[in-house]
Amino acid sequence: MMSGKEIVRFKIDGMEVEAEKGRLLLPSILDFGFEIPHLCYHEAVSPGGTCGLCVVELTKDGRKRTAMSCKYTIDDGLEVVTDTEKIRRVRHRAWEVLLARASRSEVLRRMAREAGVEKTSLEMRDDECILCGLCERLCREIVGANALTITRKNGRREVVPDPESCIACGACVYVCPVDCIRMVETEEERTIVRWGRTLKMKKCTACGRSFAPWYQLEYIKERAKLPKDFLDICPDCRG
Amino acid sequence: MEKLNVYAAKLVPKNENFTQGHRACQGCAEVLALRHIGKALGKNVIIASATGCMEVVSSPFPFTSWDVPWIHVAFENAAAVASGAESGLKALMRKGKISPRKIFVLALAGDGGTNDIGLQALSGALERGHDFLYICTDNEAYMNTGIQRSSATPWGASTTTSPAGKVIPGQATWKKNMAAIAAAHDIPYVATACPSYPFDLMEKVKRGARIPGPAYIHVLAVCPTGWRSPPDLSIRLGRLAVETGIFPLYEVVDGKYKITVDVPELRPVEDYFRLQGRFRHLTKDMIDQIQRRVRKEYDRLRKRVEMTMED
Amino acid sequence: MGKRVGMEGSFAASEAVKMANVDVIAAYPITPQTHIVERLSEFVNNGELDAEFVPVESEHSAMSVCAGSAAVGARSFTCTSSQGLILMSEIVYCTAAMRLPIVMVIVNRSLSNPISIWNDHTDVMSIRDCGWIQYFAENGQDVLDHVLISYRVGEDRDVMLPVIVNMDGFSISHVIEPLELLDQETVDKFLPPYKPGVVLDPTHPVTMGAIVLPTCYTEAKKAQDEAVKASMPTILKAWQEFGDLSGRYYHPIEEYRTDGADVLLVTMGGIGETAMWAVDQMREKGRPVGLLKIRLWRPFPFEAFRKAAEKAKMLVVVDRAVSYGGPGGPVASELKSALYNEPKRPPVVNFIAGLASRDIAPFDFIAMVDRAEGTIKKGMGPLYEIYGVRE
Repeated sequence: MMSGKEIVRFKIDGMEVEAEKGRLLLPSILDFGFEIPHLCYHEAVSPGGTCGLCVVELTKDGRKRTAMSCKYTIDDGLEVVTDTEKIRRVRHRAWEVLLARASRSEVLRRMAREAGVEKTSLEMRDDECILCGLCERLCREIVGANALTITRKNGRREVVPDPESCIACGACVYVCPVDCIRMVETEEERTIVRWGRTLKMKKCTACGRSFAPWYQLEYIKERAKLPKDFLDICPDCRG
Repeated sequence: MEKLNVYAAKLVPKNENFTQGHRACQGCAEVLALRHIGKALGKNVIIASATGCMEVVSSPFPFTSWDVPWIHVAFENAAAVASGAESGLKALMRKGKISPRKIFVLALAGDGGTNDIGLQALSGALERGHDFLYICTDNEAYMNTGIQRSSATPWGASTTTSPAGKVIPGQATWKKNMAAIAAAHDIPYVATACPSYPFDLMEKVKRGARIPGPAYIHVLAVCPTGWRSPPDLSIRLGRLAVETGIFPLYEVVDGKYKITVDVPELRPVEDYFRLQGRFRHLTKDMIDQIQRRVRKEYDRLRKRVEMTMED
Repeated sequence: MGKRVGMEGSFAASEAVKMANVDVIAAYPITPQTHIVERLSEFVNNGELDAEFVPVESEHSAMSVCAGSAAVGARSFTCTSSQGLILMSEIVYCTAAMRLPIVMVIVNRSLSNPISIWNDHTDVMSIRDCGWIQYFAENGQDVLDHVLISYRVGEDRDVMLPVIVNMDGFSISHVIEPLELLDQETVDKFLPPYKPGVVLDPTHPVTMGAIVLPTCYTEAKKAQDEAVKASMPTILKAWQEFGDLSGRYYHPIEEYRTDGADVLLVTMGGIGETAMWAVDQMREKGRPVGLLKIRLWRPFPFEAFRKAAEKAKMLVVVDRAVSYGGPGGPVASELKSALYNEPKRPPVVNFIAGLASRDIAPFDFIAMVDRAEGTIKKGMGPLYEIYGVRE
């Protein structure tokens, strides 16, 4: 609903549109059905601007420039162009950077191929992770477990886990754009493979089925100040 | 995916395209499905709705629950109206009359509007290959008109036109397998889903909408009013339908079957039946008969998964 | 002036659809409508017309597709006949109430049973009250012109209604006649691109086809009735402008040799041209007979009709549909009700003729006039007569 908020008018590829003032450009563009590649953006967390794919050309007050649409807030009279020769060049370069960062990622290679980029001329890093940092922002902003940090090792960025803080909730598994964080689960335990974290599963005292890692439940109880036995029963049995 | 629902739930869009104020009954899982569908598809969608509960509860003039463009024409033609919207957009974009961009076209109908009266229009639209998504929200009877049986009503269920009588104990036919009928059209995407498994549902909706060409999703929607079940048990009943194997969650991508929420050991069907008034009259024999059939059907689904697995 | 060609009525309709640069065509084949869709498919597949041709699985879906496409703002076309029309009739009513300016050509054909592919007006009379603007063409040229005029009128922001162009099956649809094709420039001048008002557009979401409780239904229907009635000035203006561009001027009721006529034959559709012959023959013999040809069926041109019928001593109305156990053919009933409150009203004698393409020759019209005069002399006879029944 748009009521009560200030509305600004701007143009996407020539189409006149309206949106709430102060909104980020990328989600607004996507809302109107224009397709822009993007990997590091998720509307629930703050923008990262790390994948470099969502670049667009902006014209405001007669001045033209390119910008990352995930970090740009829309304003009145803005003219956005989502596809030009220059944008394509910048995006091509961004794909190359990503391919070099995550040379082992099949998922990324498939995406890049669909975007017309087959190979990279940059130095390859032996990993599946594109270093977009979405998992780190998510773990900090949404989960609050702060189990991930981005550090520089030998001049290179890395996502470094703190296995003791990880509650194995799997939100990072869900959000990873290239599926490089995997989870293995049995009735007994859950493992987040990339972070090397394994936790025992809690069994429901009513039906006996396992339903969540015990540490995750402890974490929730503590954060929500719930009684000790509150999460002994699984959601299915709680009714 | 369903096990991640504690924190991953916070990643679901907060924006509601199907908004509050609708007139649905308490505990209606069908509106819940619409909410999830609205979140999964976002703003850029045009919806063609069939007549039925969801049409009636969402659009009582001068109010509307829809924050996306929505059209209702009649009962049996949601797929045809959606075909028209899709064709219109395609022609207008090609001819430069509107900005070329991706606008999803969604047809929404209940089980009556899909399995029965809308089957012809649906089959035609699937065959013609329109780029649209058709979602059937199946509450297993004509609930809007007062719980009359449809071809989606399960065997044995008591409805107002298949009452549990002294001679005939409820619905005398087995539920029509609509997802299989859709899959028989060789369309790129078919799935079953249930709002008790919201992530599974939303992922399927996103996938179905994004895949070029027609996609069909059959959603089981618990109806406390028609099923004679407590409104607070709607989510659990949906889960039980899946856990008993009565309504397996799977998808068919380019002809390849995949069970998305696997149930290694099926619960006894009785767990599902005993919470619903429409099955209250079932005898042990009848329940056994249903149990055998559910097992057989589930095995058959597993076989389909094996048979169509990628080499 | 455009090019003069020999062309059958069906192809004339297709040519007009092409010239109107229609965006979406949805149709299902039924005799005698088939030639229209065949030609349109050729146009689309040969790249002569940039449109989506949706080969639907039924007429019901044909109209539903048009509802969807018109709702997103696409210029939409369909055509059908007979059984197809009554199958789609549910949606025919819906689209008018939803104010979607679709154009439909109906190639009129009898209704089953017994099954008959031949021509009369029983099909379209079944949807008399559907709320569309309804027009009856008399020949191929008329069809061609009126497909264009229909888009112009229906899409006018003061109108926003769907329009039906009726043409008789076979006798117009399959008969090659000389006609004039307008050049594209003239057409474009007359028919600007469709600029829809409210459409299904994600940037401005609207709800169409909402449920209305008894508190508002009457108001909705009143508005719809007013809309159909209020389309008349736009229709007349479009005819005037079309006439100025093409030299062909159309009127809601066309009069032929009505000066000093005591008896007026009244027809609708293709038989009007035969009736003109009959009138000529009767006039040669000095009989004061004239002819009224009804072109516009909805909104019904009451004023024009009353004025035209003012001086007549008798009306001989030839209907091409039956209202079983009713007051006579639909046209005659309409005319009677139009005259009932008038201080001076001529008697109306009604013949139902030409069912399933049973020939109506000039001598049949003369026979009807003779019979009518006899009936009146004897005092009023039965309400109507089904003419030419073999015994």
